[in-house]
Amino acid sequence: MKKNWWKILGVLLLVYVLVFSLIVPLSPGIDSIYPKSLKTGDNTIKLSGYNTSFLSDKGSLSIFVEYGTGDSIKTIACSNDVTIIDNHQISFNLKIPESVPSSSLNLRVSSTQYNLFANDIVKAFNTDIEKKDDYNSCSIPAYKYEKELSFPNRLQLNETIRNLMFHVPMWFTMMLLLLISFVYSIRYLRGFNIKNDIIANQAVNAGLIFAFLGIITGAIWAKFSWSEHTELFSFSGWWANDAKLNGAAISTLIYIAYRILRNSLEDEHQKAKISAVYNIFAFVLMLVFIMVLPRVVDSLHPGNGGNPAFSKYDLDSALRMVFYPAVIGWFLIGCWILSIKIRLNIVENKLLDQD
Amino acid sequence: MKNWMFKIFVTITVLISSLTSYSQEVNQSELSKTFHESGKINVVIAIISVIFIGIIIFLIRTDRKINKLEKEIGNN
Repeated sequence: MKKNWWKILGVLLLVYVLVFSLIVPLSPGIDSIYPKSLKTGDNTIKLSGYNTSFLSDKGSLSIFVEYGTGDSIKTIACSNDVTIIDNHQISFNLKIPESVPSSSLNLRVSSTQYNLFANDIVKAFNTDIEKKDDYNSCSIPAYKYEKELSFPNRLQLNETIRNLMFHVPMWFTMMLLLLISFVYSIRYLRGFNIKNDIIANQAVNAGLIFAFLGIITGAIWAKFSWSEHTELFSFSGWWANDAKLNGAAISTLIYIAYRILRNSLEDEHQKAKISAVYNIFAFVLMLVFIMVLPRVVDSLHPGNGGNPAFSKYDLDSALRMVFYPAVIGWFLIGCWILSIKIRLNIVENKLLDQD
Repeated sequence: MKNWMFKIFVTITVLISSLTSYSQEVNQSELSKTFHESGKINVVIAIISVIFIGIIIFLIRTDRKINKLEKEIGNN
């Protein structure tokens, strides 16, 4: 029992992750806006919210159209005349001036309970570069919000933000296992101890399990969050044209080739030496395909297009509280799977030697 | 053993393909809609099940390997 504390810790962490990633509510957010973009002049907009309670906000609801970030937020239009249909639906009128200072405008629904944001709701506009400040200014009520424990609600992502705790740790665990494999391949080449080769080989096998799980979960997430093909049983939409996806697929194929290479060689030491050298190249290629190349181009994944991953915009404190234990828990489970595979392989080899 | 698994595989394939033909008649099948309902919580459920199935497949494969080893020990 004392030897196995880390397995128990891993299971406990995953139970914690499973419970908390499912029971923490999503913060109120905007589900959809119709029409999707604003035009100059009068606009009648229907907005439906998620986890909202508009009926209890009666009187305090106001709509703002804003631009800018941080301290330099400027309001260009606002409306207090909000028709509340039910808890999740409101409609309102907005008058947009003829020229606006920016083509990226944000919509904000403000009440005593929350601020709901929809970013970049404007597609094309006559933008006036000379920033005029004479737009009708609205008085912004200064409500203070107590942030309850909740996950952020993003447009289009909605509840699928919880997948962060399941999809991402798969890839992190794969990277850890492949790193272990890389280290033991180098150790094998230094001393030609066949035990190091067994560990390197089984670490690749365990890493491939997590790579496949990562690819399948990623495909499902992408299909229902970003794809326009809504039909479940159609072949389109499962694979987004994303640099990180293609990189992950290529590196998975590289490691499948590693297994084929091993199986094609007969002599035990020849097999171990050649596959160890191949493994070192494969790991470097994997890093390039997954970590380096996707950062150069735009991608669905955070940390791409030149942005650092895990910035304050990507992960808030509630997500971190569950995400980090998830990564550690899956690391431990990955090592458990690895240890089972290694022990099995050693027993197999011993039986073969006896024959 | 293998024959039994093959039968199940064929059954599932036929089931899914029949659903496909059904979904082409209606514009969007009921099953598809469940994934696009407001909130999309079903996508999370699907992903958790995929990971669970992955771990179960690992268990089955390990079980088979141990069976093989047991047989070898029995033969010796």
